[in-house]
Amino acid sequence: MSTPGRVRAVLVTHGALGAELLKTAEMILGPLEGCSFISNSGKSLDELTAELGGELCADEPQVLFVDLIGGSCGHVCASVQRRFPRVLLATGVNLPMLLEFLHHRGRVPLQELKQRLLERGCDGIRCFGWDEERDG
Amino acid sequence: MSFLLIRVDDRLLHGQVALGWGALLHPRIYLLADDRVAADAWELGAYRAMAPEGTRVECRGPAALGREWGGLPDREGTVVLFRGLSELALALEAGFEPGGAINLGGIHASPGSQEILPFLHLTREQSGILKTLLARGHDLFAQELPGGARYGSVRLGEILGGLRSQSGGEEAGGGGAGRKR
Repeated sequence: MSTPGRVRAVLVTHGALGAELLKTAEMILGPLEGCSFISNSGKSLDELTAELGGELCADEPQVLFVDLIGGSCGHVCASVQRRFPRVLLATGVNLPMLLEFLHHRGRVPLQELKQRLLERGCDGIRCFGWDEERDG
Repeated sequence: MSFLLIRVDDRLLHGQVALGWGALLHPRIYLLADDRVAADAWELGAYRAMAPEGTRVECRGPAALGREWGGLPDREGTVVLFRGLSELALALEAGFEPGGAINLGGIHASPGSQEILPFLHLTREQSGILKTLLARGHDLFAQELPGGARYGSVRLGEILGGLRSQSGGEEAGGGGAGRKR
């Protein structure tokens, strides 16, 4: 299985979430290349689709990160995969998932990258502290 | 028997519908009354792939819905979504009977539109359709999300009545901010 070269990331999210996730990732990792964001705020489906289409390249591997499955961002990304077959769509983006991508993009095969995104996106989610049975 | 919700929203099935209204109403079916989606298997597949867990996405054109709505199963568990007012009007012309109030949930700004409410932007043609629907006695209310402000038919009529001509760059009157795009 081949290792992809440069893999771009586009965060397609509600409000300013994508911009803030990228800004936070840069605070942790330093300046990032090949990353951009699109917000759905105030945009119709057609406007969002057109903006995303203008952001993507047909001959480059890209990962679309979406915050909410079932939202307009997810729908538009699933829809544009028809025109851009080398696009992977990852929903439920959070900071651990994004950092995992930025650490490993271009270094591991796509299948492994997908698995890493899924695992890292989930395994940082824990609950600590108050236990109703134990603490009342 | 009426549908669970009938909504006009140019994003069709999206977060506000799936999570905002969905959490309140617990629909089993989202019915997209839309010719574009009905004619595009990929697009319908994209909606189905993103549908909330435990729900089903169905689709038919507005005219077909107008003819066939009476035979649809599980109407009380169905949210019907129209992309715009013209699609809603088409379904009503074809015989669609809402059986309850119709929700105007989201129409984004487009060239020549006026902001009627922050989530509702209408062109002159769309304002005309809405006025016609209200004049025919259809029960409509504008409301973006559960818990948000609700503007009933009377208030919508007042807001539309306060609009000036959209052709000469004049601004809207009462109700909306009147921002022209």
